[in-house]
Amino acid sequence: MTARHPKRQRLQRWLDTGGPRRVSNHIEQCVHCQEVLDELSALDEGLVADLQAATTPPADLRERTHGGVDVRLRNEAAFGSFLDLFTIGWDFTRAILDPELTDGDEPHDDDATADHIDGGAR
Amino acid sequence: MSPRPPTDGRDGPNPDDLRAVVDRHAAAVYRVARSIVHDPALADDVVQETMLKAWRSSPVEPGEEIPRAWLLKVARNTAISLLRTRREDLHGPDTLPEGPGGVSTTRTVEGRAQLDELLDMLQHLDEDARALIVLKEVDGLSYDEIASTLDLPLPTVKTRLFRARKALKDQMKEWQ
Repeated sequence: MTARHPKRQRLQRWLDTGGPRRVSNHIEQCVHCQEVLDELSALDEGLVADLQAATTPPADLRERTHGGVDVRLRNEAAFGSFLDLFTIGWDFTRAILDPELTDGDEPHDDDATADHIDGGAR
Repeated sequence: MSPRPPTDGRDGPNPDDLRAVVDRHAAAVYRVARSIVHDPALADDVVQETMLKAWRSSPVEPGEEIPRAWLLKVARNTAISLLRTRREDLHGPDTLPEGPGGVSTTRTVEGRAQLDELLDMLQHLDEDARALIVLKEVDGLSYDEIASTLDLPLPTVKTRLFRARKALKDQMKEWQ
């Protein structure tokens, strides 16, 4: 069976219009036509060079990025330390204010405690 | 858990790996960022944020090369996310300044001003088209890598790139 493909002019029209759907569907599945379109749509070398030049990052990008990430990490670490302090303070306050935490969850055995403190002297 | 200071290195990722990722990929990440955000300062933020994400959440073992497509995907998502956060416009055609014409597809552009015109033309394309042009023509990614970066099927990447190239050429014709 011979595969049928749109002519180059038809593919060029598809580039212009994006249609019709029948051609679009064929292109999606046809490696041969994709290769033709790759060739038809290719940007010339001068334009590619210009695109590369136009999108060239600033010369000091690496240095700026190194500096920027260092600052971010230090800020995060400082903020984390602050949060840790807050958490410790909150836990302490909660321990003071919460009677259950103050008394403990387990019921006290006062006699046993006393025995322990006496060290068996009785 | 508190974030680790940059010079700690006792647990978590190695700071040397972060430097290596920056040295190797900062330029490509910056270009992807600039294809989405117009503001160079915001593009800087995208690069820094992407590098930290890559350093902390790399899909490969420490010391192994981070896949470029994965990194550029992170960069793209980060740029879009930052853009939304800062409510910056996507710089559609209506928001772009009018610029002088005079650039042809066959002429080498000379001078920074004309390169800026070319950037403006690129900004006239939709976001996907810009990303495709930058990833393929500037960063030189393969179709497979682009498909992975943009989360698109391979044939869709190809057909959209062909149309994106055509759209860019049309932009240039309009400016002659």
